[in-house]
Amino acid sequence: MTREKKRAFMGYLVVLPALLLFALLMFYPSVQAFFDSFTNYSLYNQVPGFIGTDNYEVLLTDPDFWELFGRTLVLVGLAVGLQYVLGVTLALLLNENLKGMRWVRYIIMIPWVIPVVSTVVMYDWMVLPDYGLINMLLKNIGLGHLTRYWFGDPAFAFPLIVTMHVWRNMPFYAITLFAGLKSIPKGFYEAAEIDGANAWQRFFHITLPQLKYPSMIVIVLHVLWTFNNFDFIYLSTGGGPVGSTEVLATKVYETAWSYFEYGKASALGILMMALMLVFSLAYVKLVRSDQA
Amino acid sequence: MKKKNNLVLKYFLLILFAVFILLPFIWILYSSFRAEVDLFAGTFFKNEKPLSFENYRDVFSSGQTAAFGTYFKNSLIIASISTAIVVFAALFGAYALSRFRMKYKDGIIITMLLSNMFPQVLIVIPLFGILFSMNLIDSYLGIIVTHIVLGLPFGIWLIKGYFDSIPYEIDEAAMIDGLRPFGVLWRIIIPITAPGMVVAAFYAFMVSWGDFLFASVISQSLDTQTLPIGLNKFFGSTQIRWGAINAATVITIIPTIVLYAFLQRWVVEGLTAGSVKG
Repeated sequence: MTREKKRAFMGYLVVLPALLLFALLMFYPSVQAFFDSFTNYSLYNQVPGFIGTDNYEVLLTDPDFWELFGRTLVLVGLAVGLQYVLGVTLALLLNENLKGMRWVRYIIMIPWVIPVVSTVVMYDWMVLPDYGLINMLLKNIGLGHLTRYWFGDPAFAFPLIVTMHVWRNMPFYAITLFAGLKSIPKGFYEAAEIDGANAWQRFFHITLPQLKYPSMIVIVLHVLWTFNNFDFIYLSTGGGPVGSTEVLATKVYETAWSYFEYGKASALGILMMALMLVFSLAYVKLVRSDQA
Repeated sequence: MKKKNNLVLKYFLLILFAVFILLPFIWILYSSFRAEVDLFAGTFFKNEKPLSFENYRDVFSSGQTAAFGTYFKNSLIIASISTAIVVFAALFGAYALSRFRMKYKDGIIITMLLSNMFPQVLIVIPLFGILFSMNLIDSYLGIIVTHIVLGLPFGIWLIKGYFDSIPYEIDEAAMIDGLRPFGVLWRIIIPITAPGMVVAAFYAFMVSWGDFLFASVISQSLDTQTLPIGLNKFFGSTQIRWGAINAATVITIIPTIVLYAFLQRWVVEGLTAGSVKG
């Protein structure tokens, strides 16, 4: 073996344990799930039988599936949209030289580092029927008739879930975009000012275009995160009330672990994966084309 | 005058953001010190009993939440071990991917990162069968290996970025001076990439500490159940004891916040580095 080859061999050897772990716990399960999705594998059919594309046909012709699909997209769109708009606003604020800003920059990331389950408990504690903070505040300002268990109301449970998503991830946008803002050359703004551009024009013609790359990254990452996220909904409403917060991810979990219909659950998960794969490939292409 | 108005507006917005972000924390922290009678008296600040650590004592002793200590111990063991292994494996993996001339190197990195985008609710279904056949269901090891896989791609990618920023000439100079590749790693590269390792460790810990999905399927008994599982159990029971649950939630949050407090400078830098420079 030449020295070069020996070095490459050593390289593979060093990455091998990580790769094996991945193969065993990520790729093999994905392939397995793909095959399971063509079977009637369930708790009652422990020896799965091949049923072709039945699972997919049942799913795709079921109006419930399309309702879940639509709701998932609405959740992703609303959460990511709000996160981005608020994230940019907060990033611009962080970029100001105000007193105490160092502390603000530190504190805003805290929602992101804590477990999702604790966020759910905190929110539930705030929206309890009679003694939750929100309802107590409403009563105190004379809006007692509006009080309710906000997670238990079909009209408000979904917005509340969007709120939790925004609360957790918006700071991440702010910090990332803030770093992006700092890397915009000051000269751009000086030149624009000399040309007589006002604050809005500077924002739309310099700031936003210069933030294009970090924006795309945070948005794509959070589209994936929000689309795949299951614990916010499962832990807070369990998909209720009356299915008003059920999304694809929670449906997969319930189909597998409450109804034990693994084949059907796999088919639903594979559909999710296919959608996100298309999305991810677009993302890789984006990263690559930017590096080239 | 206009400048001044602007400043007022900025502070106003900043305060709105701060309230939005901090309110849930402040409210639960305050509530965790209030006696149960006061939690359900419908008052904000008027308390019949003085604020105390009673709820915290309750978490560990009362019937419903008595297992909290065990959950905490399980979480601590699982998160610490998986974090240590992620950092170790990420360091070597990143070194190899950055320094050795390998085919398919980009492919390896990209597939690893992409795998984090698979729906976890899907992966966990066959994963149960795989872990079952390896006798790893309801074991620390079963949860630990899963958490390693969750934390590793980001770790490798992040640390590789630090390796890539060290010119290869430094390695070469050291090797001419007689150091072998791994000698270079220990003496030169680790000190320079320390910030990256800190962030990778923090991320791995955070992921493991917060994971509900995988633990909910792999854990079957008190022997392995982690904090998120336990907290959800208290929270889902019919007679919710809010005093104890608020205290339990605060205790669950604290380790991540304390770690973040120590490491925040590096964490923020590490997280944003990739998305800015690309």
